[in-house]
Amino acid sequence: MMTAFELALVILNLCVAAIYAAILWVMLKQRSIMDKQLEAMQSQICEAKRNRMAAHRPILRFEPPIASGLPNLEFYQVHNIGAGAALDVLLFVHERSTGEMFVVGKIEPLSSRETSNEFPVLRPLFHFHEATLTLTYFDIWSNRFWTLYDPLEQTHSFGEGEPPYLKR
Amino acid sequence: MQSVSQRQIVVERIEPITPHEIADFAEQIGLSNPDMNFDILLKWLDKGFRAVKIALWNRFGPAYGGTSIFFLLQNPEGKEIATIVSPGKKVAHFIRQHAEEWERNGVVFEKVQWSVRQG
Repeated sequence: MMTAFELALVILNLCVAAIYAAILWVMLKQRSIMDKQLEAMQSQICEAKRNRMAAHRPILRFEPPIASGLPNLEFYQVHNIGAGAALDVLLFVHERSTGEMFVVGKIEPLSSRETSNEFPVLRPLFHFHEATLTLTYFDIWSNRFWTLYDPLEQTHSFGEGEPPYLKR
Repeated sequence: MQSVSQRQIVVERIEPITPHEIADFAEQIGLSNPDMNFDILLKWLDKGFRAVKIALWNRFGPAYGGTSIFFLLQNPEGKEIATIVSPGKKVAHFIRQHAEEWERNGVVFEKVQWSVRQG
């Protein structure tokens, strides 16, 4: 038979266990609340970053070509239609399928709404070598962007990061 | 820089030039980005393309405009490609090295004066 003392010990142990369980439960609740707060803060930071990037994002597109006095040679200009400056602008004239380069050119930084100087491209490259034009450029936060232009279709594609198809 | 593209690009003058004159010029000009695209030129020559025209241009260089050397290349099937190289010591040496061979093969050497006018 259990003595009164032993019974008191058991009850005391049960009380202590209950208190520990309650503390653990409160801690878990707090952890869960903090996780949710952290998640909300992270999404706010993401949103702020996206807004900041959008406010300064350059978008470069090609203007229609300008004919030259020489056969098969035409000139292109790049226009910044984005909100921010385009820095470290590189132009690549390359084969569409293989990414092999014909010309690499450096273009001056372009502020918003600014148009570049002209650069020449040999027209047969587009017809016989399926050449396309790619621009890579950075915004003021060092985010990299690219523009791909198909001169035959006259279509633009835009992306972020390193263009996956370029063979440098 | 300009905010509109209403521009005309005109060939002001085309004059004959010797490969050695192009090489001398390429060596002396001292650009901050010399020999840009030279490796691309060599790659296409390695692939069987041959030079058919080499022109010294007063502008449209690959590094922010400026003087450039235009190479028109052709492969045995007659397909043409072109690349534009910025002047430099490597290009100068390369042109001198191949000058005689190119002259024998009838490669055209030109000095082209371009101008850009507002339309």
